[in-house]
Amino acid sequence: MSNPFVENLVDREYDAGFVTDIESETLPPGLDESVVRFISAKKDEPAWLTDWRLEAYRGWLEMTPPKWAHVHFSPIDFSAISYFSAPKSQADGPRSLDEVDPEILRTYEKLGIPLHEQEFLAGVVKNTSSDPASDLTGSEARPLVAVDAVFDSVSIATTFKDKLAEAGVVFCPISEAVQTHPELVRKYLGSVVPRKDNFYAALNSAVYSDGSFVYIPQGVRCPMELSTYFRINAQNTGQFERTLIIAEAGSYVSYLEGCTAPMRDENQLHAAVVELIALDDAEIKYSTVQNWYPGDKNGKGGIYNFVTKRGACIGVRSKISWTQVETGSAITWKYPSVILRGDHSVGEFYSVALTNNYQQADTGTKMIHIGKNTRSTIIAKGISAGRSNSTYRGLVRTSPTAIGARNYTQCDSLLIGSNCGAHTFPYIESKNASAIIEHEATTSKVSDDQLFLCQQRGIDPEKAVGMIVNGFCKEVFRKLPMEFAVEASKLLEVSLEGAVG
Amino acid sequence: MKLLEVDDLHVTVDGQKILNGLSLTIEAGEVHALMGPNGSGKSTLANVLAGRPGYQITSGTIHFKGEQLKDLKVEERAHLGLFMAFQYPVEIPGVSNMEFMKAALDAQAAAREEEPLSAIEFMKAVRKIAEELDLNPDFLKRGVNEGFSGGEKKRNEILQLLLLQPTLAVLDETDSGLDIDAIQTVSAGVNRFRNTDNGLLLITHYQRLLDYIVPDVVHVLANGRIVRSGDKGLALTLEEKGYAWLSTS
Amino acid sequence: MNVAEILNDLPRRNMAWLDSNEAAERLSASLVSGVVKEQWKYTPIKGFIEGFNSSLANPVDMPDPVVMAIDGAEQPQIELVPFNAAASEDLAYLGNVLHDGIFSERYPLADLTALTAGNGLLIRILDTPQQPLLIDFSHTGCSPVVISVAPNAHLELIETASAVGFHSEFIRIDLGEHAVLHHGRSALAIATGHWSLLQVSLAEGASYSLQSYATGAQRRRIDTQVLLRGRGARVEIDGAYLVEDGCHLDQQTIIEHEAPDTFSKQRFHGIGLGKSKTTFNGRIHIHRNAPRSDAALTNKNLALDPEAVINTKPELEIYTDDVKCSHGATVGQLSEDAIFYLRTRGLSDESARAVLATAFLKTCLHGRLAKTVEQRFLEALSMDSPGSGR
Repeated sequence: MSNPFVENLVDREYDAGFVTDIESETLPPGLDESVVRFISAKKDEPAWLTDWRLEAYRGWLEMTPPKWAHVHFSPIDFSAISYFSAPKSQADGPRSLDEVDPEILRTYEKLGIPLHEQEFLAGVVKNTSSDPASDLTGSEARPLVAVDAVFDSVSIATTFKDKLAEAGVVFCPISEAVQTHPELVRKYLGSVVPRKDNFYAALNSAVYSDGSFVYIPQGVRCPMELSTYFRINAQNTGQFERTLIIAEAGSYVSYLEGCTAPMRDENQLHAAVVELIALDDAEIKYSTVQNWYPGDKNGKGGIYNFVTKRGACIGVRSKISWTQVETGSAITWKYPSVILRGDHSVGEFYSVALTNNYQQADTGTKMIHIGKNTRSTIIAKGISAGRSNSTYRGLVRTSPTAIGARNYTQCDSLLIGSNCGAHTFPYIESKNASAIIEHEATTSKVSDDQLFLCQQRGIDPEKAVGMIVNGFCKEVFRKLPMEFAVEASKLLEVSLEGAVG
Repeated sequence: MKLLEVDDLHVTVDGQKILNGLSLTIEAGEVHALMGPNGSGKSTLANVLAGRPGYQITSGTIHFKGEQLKDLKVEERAHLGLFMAFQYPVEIPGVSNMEFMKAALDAQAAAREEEPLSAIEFMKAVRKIAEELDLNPDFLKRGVNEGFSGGEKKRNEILQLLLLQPTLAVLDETDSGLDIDAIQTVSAGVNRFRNTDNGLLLITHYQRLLDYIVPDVVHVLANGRIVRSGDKGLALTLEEKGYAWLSTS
Repeated sequence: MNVAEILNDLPRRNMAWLDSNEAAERLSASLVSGVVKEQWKYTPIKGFIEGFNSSLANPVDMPDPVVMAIDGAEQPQIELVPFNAAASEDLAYLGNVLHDGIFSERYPLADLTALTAGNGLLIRILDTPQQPLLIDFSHTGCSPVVISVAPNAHLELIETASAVGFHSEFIRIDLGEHAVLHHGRSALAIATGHWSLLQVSLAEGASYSLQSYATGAQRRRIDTQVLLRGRGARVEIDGAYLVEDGCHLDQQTIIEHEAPDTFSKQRFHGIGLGKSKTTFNGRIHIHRNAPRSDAALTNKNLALDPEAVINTKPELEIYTDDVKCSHGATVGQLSEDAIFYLRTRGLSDESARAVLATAFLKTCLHGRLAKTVEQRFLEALSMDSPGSGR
């Protein structure tokens, strides 16, 4: 290793790594049809949905975990996982915020997630950090954000429901939507990610416990940012949430998602499915800041984040934009994709994936061009430090029908230290001679010269690396809603502690 | 002899009307300058004359040497002696400048059923012109306009003008992006081209170029049609008072 | 018929030093491995195995590839040793160097080539020859060739594959310290099937330049692997390809940066015509102990007809931070602006397209083969040479 700072810097603590001491109702580990039926019954689901889950379960039994990703781990024992865990006080269904276990509320407070509308409206909830940059987000100009909080397997609270209802926006736990909007759920669930799309999606389809449902009616611009906060608390549980967002013609929504989990020595599985549907002229902007527990500095513990996210631009001129900042998880396996079916539709993917210590990330996107004059842009930034490996894997495909399709892809890797890995596997498949596809990739390191310059100007090396990394990611951060951008950039600095080189 | 006759020309680009009844006649031996504010349609006229795809003539006619231009392909117009110097000359990596010009000369000679220049005659001719234009002979081996500076690209356009010897040359903002020395070199080249049998249409935003290439007629284009024509004095008045003066006077 | 059955039925004509049972086992195992599935994603490997089968159904005693100096003269610096006439130390050497290809899970067809080939040829370059060396693979069948270039020797190698029946080659080149090799190779015939593995290993300070030209065939796959094993070893590759209507070409290059201060630069330009399928995969692998590696790859493709399918995948796999690495890939068409520009200068639409398509390929065309290859490409584009003075 060329740089002495690497060894000297302190190991960082995972800020969100505490355990909340509450009573939970947790199923014993193991998966069979009765577990699937139990979950479905617990949610009081109609028969079609129970059957749908069972069909997925039977499909899953026939499938094997994908092996193509550039990640290494011992096989998961799916019989050792508990597939349902709910805080006990919440077990009997709906909930006003007053009924929520105070311990859980404190959890979200610690995490800085505003669940009290009044406090939030009054601007009482400040960012916990003393960083002056956070003033930007704590000011009165702070935009309203409606939050759905998912704690282990169930949704705890959804804020600002009334205000959203005025606009006709539905934002609620998906288990609730099954009751209140069964026709929409039935029409769109599994329409973008089929039940047997892949091993983890099939598993999710069988046992998903909760997640968010968003419906934006025709012509409505959602009056605030929508946000879901996911938290794994219980031990030996898997989290399998399911998100479904439907944007009717001419509507717009910006949706944010954040994730944390306690520090535990065992690996925990998180296998979510997210489906987005954009009709004519609709736009969905989906942002993720993923900070699941990454494991300790020796690679022990951490979340396996095996997620299927896909959007369908069904309508003409529709647009789906994914922005992700991935700093957590022991292993990330995730490819938020867009199927560009509508003519003139647009898909975007902006990603920062940072790995440190023994983390492994294999992430990227698929842009499937089907409609005429469809356009896609991919900007992926991978940062590897420690002994970690960060991989970009992407597919750009233009079908024979995608006349005039365009894609531009840029993949940049930044390596910090001589023991990490950075990899790029972009698949380009052109079946249309009028398509133009461009891919570029570069690799760089934080150079000793850069560090020296910063130091000479009085900036300490850790700060300097933070600055350089943030500069490297700027293009992606610009795509995040402002308060998330500030969070993300701080998160990067924290995640890099102990890794500078 | 009439070289170019444009009569009540209406043109749309992407469904948008750009030219609205433009008429213009250029006789052999004449130099016309076409001036006008940005967006008035100057470059559109140049592109329509050359036949760039995407420019839709909705009504009106263009005759060049008595032939309906509308019916001719881009290259057939070139064979007939129409030349356009591009505002933004295109870079073609891999095709050497030399190869490119020889191919153009040969294609035009073949179309006119003339003997092509031999390789030696061709080299001689190109070298001579390059020298006059102060272009390093080295650039002949490079890809067409590849990595050329803005000034080199414009001089390369003039080199082609002198080599191909068209009957009518349309220079689309050839002066833009040139410093004063380069304008002088380019103008000297253009003046060498001028004779009693050919014609020139200078499209320019500034009067500056007209100090060096003196026009017989100056036209002012606004909103897609010629709103005023005069002698070179008109250009000086415009320089002094600006295009706004046209609408107030 | 499944692959295993085909394998069992294959006549084995392997060299004495290869255990044919082991090889067959290894082959069966690798055919079902993930690596092979991924490597043969766009070109079913089964077709090639069937090709081996059919070409060997009526075994002819395979002649060696034609090897000669460019003027046909004897050259004392070049020594030709058929595998079956090799002395024991030669056999040990062959076993060693062929190991990389034959035992690699990545190249099951190398195993198959060795297993079914009648004989192979070892070419020793003892010192710099006066003339370039020519190798022509003009015969149907399988040919393993090993070329060993002594330290500090300089060699120019011209290699052509002109057979029209099914053929496979496995060429292994070993460059000694500071040896220099200029290598031009072409595969221009529309063969029924053609698989080729070129594997080049470079010792410290060795330098290798390759010009690789190909057209499509009914089925053609060209694997190239360069092993930069010694400090400061350098490779530069320029490739041009054109795939005609109904043809298929799959090219895969791998550069292994295994030592510090190694350098690689690759540039591939290709055109797909008619209903063709073109695949390019360029992998750069920088090993942990290869600091200050410098690697670059560009792959540009033009699809000139609506049904031309083009797949490309430039890959980077990097395990150390002190490197300079980049790759780029594009799929597109001729620039309409450039076509217009040429037409305003008097070229017809067709010849403007021809000029631009040729220029695109010519960027990567040079060396002794350039003229022949250009002629072949022009015929495919069915046009005369632009600016030829006609």
